[in-house]
Amino acid sequence: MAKINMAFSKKIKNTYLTPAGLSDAKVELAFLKKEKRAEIAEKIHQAREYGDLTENSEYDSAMEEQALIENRIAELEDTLKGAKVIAEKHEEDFVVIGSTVKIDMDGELDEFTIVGRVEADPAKKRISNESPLGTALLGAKKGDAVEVTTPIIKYKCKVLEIK
Amino acid sequence: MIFRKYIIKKEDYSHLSKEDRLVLKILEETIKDISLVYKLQLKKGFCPKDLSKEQLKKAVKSNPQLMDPFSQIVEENGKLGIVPYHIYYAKYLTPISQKIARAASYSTNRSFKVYLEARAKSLTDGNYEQAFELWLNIKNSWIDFTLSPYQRYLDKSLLTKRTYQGYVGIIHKQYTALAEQYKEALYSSAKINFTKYHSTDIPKKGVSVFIEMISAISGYPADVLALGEHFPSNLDVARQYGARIVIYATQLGYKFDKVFYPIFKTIFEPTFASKYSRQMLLETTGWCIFLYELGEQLHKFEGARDRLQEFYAPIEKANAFASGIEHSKHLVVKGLISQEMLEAIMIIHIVWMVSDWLLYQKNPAKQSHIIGNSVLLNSYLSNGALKISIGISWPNFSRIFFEIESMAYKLTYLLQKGSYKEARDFIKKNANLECFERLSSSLSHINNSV
Repeated sequence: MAKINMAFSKKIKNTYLTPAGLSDAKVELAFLKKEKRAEIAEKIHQAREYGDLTENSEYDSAMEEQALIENRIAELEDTLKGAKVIAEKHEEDFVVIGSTVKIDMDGELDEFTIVGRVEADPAKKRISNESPLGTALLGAKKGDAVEVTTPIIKYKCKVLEIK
Repeated sequence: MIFRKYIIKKEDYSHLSKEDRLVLKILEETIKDISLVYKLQLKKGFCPKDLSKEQLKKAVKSNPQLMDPFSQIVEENGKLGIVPYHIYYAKYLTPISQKIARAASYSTNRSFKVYLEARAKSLTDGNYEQAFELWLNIKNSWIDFTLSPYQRYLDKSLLTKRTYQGYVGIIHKQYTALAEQYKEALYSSAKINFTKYHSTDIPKKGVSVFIEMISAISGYPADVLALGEHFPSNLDVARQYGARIVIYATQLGYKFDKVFYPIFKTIFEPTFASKYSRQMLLETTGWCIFLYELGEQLHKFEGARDRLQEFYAPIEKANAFASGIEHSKHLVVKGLISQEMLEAIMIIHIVWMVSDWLLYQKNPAKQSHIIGNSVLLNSYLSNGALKISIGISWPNFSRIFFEIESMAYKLTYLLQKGSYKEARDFIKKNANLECFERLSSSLSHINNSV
């Protein structure tokens, strides 16, 4: 039973990436594993030489950086294991991952591209397919009105254009 | 307290150069020094003591110069006139100006040095605008500092006179980058749909957000434990130069520990309260002030202050909460913040309004905030979104959000084109401080610790 649970918790979730996103993730992973790990190891080694580790801020800072990098490596490895590459050319009849969509949300206009969660950056108009808005829009056609709902927020948005 | 000093963690200042540390130390002294001028302003007021509000308003009609925000009204030979602050308080301002100039001489960052020189000069010649422009254009400085006559909440007669304040701190680059990212996500919608809800002149010129580990703060923001502020308050200046939102992270941490968290633990039902961790609520407090300041900055409308007069400030404050939280729906649906975080934002919003009430007991400058807050709290109570018995029972979040959206719409309308009469009627109908009085009986232990 324990084994089954373990296997379940380690199940890889599919992650949608553009070809550029996939390439960026691979480059970043290689950089972190080959260069950054060695760089941090050297920083830790140097900080140890300053002596007393209990009052050594350089050592604490390097250890913290190492933990962040190892987390990022694990995250990227998981992402790449479950990566599904989005076709560069996609349908314009309905919204798919990779579509750029222009919508009217309760009278407010907005435009963004729907991407996988790894590449999502709403500040740069890239919305995750797993966000409430992304989920509501997938499969919608031009002219469709879809309802975006969370337990607190409810509003309708109309698809004006799909690119 | 009109001057507060905060200890900054070693990791937040260990990267500063020897020169920067010296600059920081000198500027901290000036922040303390300026609190004395603020204290004098509180004591003297902005005009002769024996002058009534009506007499003053009558005098302004024949001499509009009396409204000047940066000057003291004095009586000479039976006539009212003005003396600019930089002359009236010269005895105190000159040594502060000299200290800032000395700090400038040690600074190795060119743009920060030039700014400090202009800021020093502004205290003795009253040219605050040039210093403001240079402040917005500082590049690559870890230290941030400002000191000037700024907030006008203490002028209850003309609503224009500014009080001196200042802060110095270290910019937290990582949090600042994150805040900029969220701001862009909000503005990407706001810029497009300006005809509906927003005044977009300010974002067009650029609004920057800074999260800062402030080490010293004085004047109004220290007095009321402000979590952050936006600069400038004058719409024309913002249109010309842009604007800046500063979150006082160290003061936020202090206020959270001393006021917000104890209020949260006191007013909410324990089973409900146990759903939200202390860390999550602390993080949410940062979100709340960020949304509040953006809400205020995005809703500056031409002539609103003159049109609504004494009702402008309460309506602006209520709208900062309502529109700020209303805008957060974009962040939720786009996946930047979670549903739980939105709930926590509404909880902190309620806690914050109660904390304003406690601070108001000690400082009348909070009056506008309290009137505005009561508009919101009463709407939640009268529409069944919140219930108060001994404390607050389980809140109905979707109902609160609905009320927030509805209030944001009404308040924005008033700011955008409402008349004085509409604003007066709205406040008369919706503002009632009794709701805070009902909650405050259990909070005396918190009030005494601030």
